[in-house]
Amino acid sequence: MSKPFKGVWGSFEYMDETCTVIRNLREQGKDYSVLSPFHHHELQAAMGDPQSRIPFITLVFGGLGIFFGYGYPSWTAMEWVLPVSMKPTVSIPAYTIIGFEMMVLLGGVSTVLGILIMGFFHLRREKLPKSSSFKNYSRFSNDRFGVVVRCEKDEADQVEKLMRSHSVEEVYREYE
Amino acid sequence: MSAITYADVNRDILKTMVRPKPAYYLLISGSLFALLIGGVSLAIQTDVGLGLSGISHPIGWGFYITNFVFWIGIGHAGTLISAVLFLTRAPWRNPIYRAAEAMTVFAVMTAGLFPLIHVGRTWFAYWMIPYPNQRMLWTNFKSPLEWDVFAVSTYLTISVLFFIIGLIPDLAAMRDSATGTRKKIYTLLSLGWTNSYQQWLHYMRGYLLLAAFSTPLVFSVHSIVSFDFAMSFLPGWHTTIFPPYFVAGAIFSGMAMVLTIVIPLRKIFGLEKFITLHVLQSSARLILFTSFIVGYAYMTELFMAYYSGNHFERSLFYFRLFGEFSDGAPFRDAHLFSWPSLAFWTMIFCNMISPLPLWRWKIRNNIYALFIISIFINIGMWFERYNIIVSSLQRDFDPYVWGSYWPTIIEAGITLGSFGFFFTLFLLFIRAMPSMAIAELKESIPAPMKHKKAHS
Repeated sequence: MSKPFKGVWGSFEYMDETCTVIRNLREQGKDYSVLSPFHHHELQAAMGDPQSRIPFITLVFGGLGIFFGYGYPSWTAMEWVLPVSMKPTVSIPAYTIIGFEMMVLLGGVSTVLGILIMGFFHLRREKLPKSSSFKNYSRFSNDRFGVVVRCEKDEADQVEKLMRSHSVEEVYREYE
Repeated sequence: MSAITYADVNRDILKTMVRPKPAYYLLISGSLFALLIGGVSLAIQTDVGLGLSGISHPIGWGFYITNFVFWIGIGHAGTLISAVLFLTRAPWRNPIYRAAEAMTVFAVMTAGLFPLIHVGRTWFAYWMIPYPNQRMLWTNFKSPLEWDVFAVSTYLTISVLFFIIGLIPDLAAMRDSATGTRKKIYTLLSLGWTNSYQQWLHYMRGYLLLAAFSTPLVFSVHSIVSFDFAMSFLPGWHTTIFPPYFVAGAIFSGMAMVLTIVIPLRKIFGLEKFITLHVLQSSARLILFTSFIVGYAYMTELFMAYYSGNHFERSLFYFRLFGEFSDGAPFRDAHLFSWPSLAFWTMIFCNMISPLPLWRWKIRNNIYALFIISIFINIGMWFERYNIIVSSLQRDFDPYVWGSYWPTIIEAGITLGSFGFFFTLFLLFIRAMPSMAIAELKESIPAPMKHKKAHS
């Protein structure tokens, strides 16, 4: 059974104040999560510009798509040869279209699956509060930025002080 | 958009999903009626057979393939707006991209029905898929029709995925504002989205890659559709200009359809502060630009028919322009208003002449004028496809195989039904899902800053 969430979370109205809190937490080596109603490059920069592994998945499956797109028609052509005038049995220019479409298809489908699977793994790894105050707080998908810090009780004062010094709107401690 | 707050975006967009104005019910009733006519027509044709349609030797492709090409073209503007304009960072796309993307999905779904309807025995459509079978037969991968199977199915799959992925953060916003059963449904549909930045990171990277895939895909699909014609030897079809001509035409017709659906949407749901005149003006500029490419392609086709000295090409283009003639003498016994020439001149008027007023700023700023022009373009682009497909089949090389085509009421009913199918899906979509991308609209709003100057 996974351990319950222990830590502090707060909601912010201002982007610059949220970024300052994130930078401070990162410098202190704290384990934190950021919540935002949309993607913003300033938040990403404050978090130290983390990178996603999605492009790697896309590259591998896109490559497989090219291989399959050329390989499958070539195999079928050689498996049952149908000579048509002087046309080559295996026609690479004609199969380029199949190769391209299969690259896009497998690359695209794997990208979407990658987003979902990595998001799911992240959800399991990144513990968020389970309290009703957090679950019922609906403004992270609306107009507020959130910072969730996973820390022990003795560090809570320091984290809360940091948040309060940067215009936190609401702050909660969860140690039950 | 500086006066709008993030909360305004959520409130105003989610408002479109509560009880709409009576105009909405009027529109959906009309769409359902058209769909009913289409459904009945299709049921009769399926029961009796393809003989009920006007397609017969030598005109094997009539209304159904015209509709297929038309609807595939309509879909292109959605991908252009959601992918190409995303990569080129055109901010005016944000308010209309969700509607355009939905339009793409529903247009490609509509288009996908037509090859199935056209083959007559729809239940054997799976024969087009290369699967291992008892007779050891494989599909011909060298055929443009097989390329179509791959191109259209890939396009539909990627468009649907792109559309669904774009919806996830907005479904989470809906989950957070809903109660009761709706909340449960949106919780399920939002696939565990928490607005965590790690999720945003994977999401944005994946979204960028999907856009990067969709950009060449949108150009390839209509090029491949054009190969259905260009790879043959038929006069009027066997030409290298077709791929860029078809792609430009697809963007042109798709942008017109975007205006046709976005202008009423804006009015019915009071979305004027998001879908601003600037957005409509930018769409109008793109329409004007693609209109010139399409017009240039028409003129090039005509010029090449004349300049090539190919008797068959010249004869076919004379037929397209002026209809029947008895002994080949130019302008003699010409029936200027025969059906093929009517299709040609409708195409010229709607696609080359009707967009010309868009040069004027006042016209681009007038939503009524924009709406009327968009309707003309939709009509013109349908006739363009009809003109290409049917007139070439009517006048093959040998006069012995010449023929004429007249659609039956069944074909007209199925065509009307396709519009009903498309608009019904779209109208249901705007009631069930946010018709504008909430998260992306917020990106256009300057972020609230306490100390430093805000920028988006």
